[in-house]
Amino acid sequence: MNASRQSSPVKKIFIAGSAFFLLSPALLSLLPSATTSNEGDSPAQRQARNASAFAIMLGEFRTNLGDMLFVKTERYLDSGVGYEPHIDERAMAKTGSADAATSAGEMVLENKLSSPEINEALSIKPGTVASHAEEDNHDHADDAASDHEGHDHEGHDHSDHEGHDHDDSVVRTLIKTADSDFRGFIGSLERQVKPWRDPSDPHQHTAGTELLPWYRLATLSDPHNVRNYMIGAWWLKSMKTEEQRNEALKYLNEGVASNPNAYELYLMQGYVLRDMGKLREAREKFRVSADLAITHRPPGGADSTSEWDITDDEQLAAAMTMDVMMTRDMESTATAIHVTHDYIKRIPTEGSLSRMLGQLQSGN
Amino acid sequence: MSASASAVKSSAVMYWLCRGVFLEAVRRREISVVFLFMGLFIVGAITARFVGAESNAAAAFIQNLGLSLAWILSMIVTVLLAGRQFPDELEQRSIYPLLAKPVARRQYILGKWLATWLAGTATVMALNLLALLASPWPAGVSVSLLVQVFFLEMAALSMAAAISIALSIRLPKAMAIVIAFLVIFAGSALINIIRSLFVLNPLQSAIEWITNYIPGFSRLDLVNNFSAGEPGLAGYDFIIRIGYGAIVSLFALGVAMMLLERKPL
Repeated sequence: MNASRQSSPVKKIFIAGSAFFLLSPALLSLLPSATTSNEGDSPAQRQARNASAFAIMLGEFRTNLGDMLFVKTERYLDSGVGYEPHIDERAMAKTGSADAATSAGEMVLENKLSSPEINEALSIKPGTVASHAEEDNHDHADDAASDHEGHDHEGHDHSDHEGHDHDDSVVRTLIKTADSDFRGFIGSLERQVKPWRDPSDPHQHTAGTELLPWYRLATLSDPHNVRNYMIGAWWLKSMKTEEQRNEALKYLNEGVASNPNAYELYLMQGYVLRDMGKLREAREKFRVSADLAITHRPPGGADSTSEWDITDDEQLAAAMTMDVMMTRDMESTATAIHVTHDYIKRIPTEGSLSRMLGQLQSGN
Repeated sequence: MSASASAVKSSAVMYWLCRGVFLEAVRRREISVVFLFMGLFIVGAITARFVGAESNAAAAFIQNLGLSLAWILSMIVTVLLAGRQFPDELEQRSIYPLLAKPVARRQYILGKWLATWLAGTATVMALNLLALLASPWPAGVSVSLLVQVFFLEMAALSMAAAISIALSIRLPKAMAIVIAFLVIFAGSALINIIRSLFVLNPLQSAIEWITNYIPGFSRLDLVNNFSAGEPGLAGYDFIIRIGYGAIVSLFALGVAMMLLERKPL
């Protein structure tokens, strides 16, 4: 009797606690998603996350597993050689020059996500936009094509670029050269036993396809890390088999399901679908990407806020251009001009659209 | 016994339980070790100020390091304290005279939770204060978010204490503490991994719902957001997070009480 009286309040507490707890997912669903840098993947959020004291001190062992794995993939791409951060993304965005280059990872990212074919379509000279950091940093010399698989060449095959030479002398390795290493014998030992190349030698890139499991793992651990979806899908697509393209699409669909507002994923879906010959679907994805990007783009574009950088502007330009060009090819120039006018109405400050309109009107 | 006499008795029980936990924390010198670690940080932070590391980025770095240390160290203290209360008292048989007072088992759980939560809160507040005093103040950070960070830390400590106590009723002490640490420091990663495995799967929504039952401490840790200069959370956002902490704590306490009620002693 006494025991049952004693346990009665406990039962009440347990039942009340359980009831509230069972409903707690509904409460959490009311939280605005990705409102904090812990949860999002915009450049500013990513930068904020990785600028935390622990992320800086721990280096590769980041506060976010997805970012940590991204760094890991960079190291793989460079055959295990660790290079110092060497690109200042913000400065690059302001100057348009790759000399003001962010981290090695950002450089790889810039290269991976750039769209030279779009810039060609827009008649943008190499080096005038950040994505052409590659052109600024690379000479075309006698290097093997295999040295270049770590870079994105969206729209042009590696065979086009056989013989790039990487003028990477500005990029220092994490393990210093003998000239600048005060450790003497210990330094020599480290250079011998760890993966290391003289910074003045060209980078030696491994096949990026080996990195696919890392990207898979990175997106598993952090499904909101959009750039891992982008790069993983790009590598799958670059394998140029139907099976891998399907895999790329599946991977991107998964990314879209977790990040429905990530306009760049729709852009990549467009590229994959275009390669698969599904032109109408591809154009639809480019259009969705452009629409979403325009919604997110601040009125001032890349310079106005940390949430939107020059890469975003570039990807938006890529989505719009692909939409317009595919409309021209699939329907008519008049329809393409109409689509371009529509884009100009929505973002009148985007100069590339006027150039594209001029080209369409002149029949080029 | 009148209601007021019962309340006095109950508060007296709580007082003695809390006092016991605080004394034990001091005796075990965990608090001293924590403050020793913080002392190292303070020496570093003050040295950095003396040598002129006063740029905004350096200030944000130092302050972030201090506040993050405060969060981690106070979590460790809370889990260690809460996770060993019941197993140690059972092993030393000191729980028997306590329950024979008579102290109801639910009071015992509540008292231990309150004591460990207060100890954790006192620790985190003291460490936060030290971190803020020793670090330069970076420009552009939101004071309102800082205040919210403090409250969310209290909610997280409440969850940590309740979960650790609940685990320690049935599991061996070491296992309970390890599982509590895994939930606290790796719970969010686990949630992400499980969810990613079911993206575009018919079970996706169900899995998302189910994984929300894994306590997500990262929802209550906004130290990095504060250092990044983000604005304070909207009122409803803040209340949801606090409410989540309260619900998880209540549930874990309910489970702990139920388990202890049913445990033959």
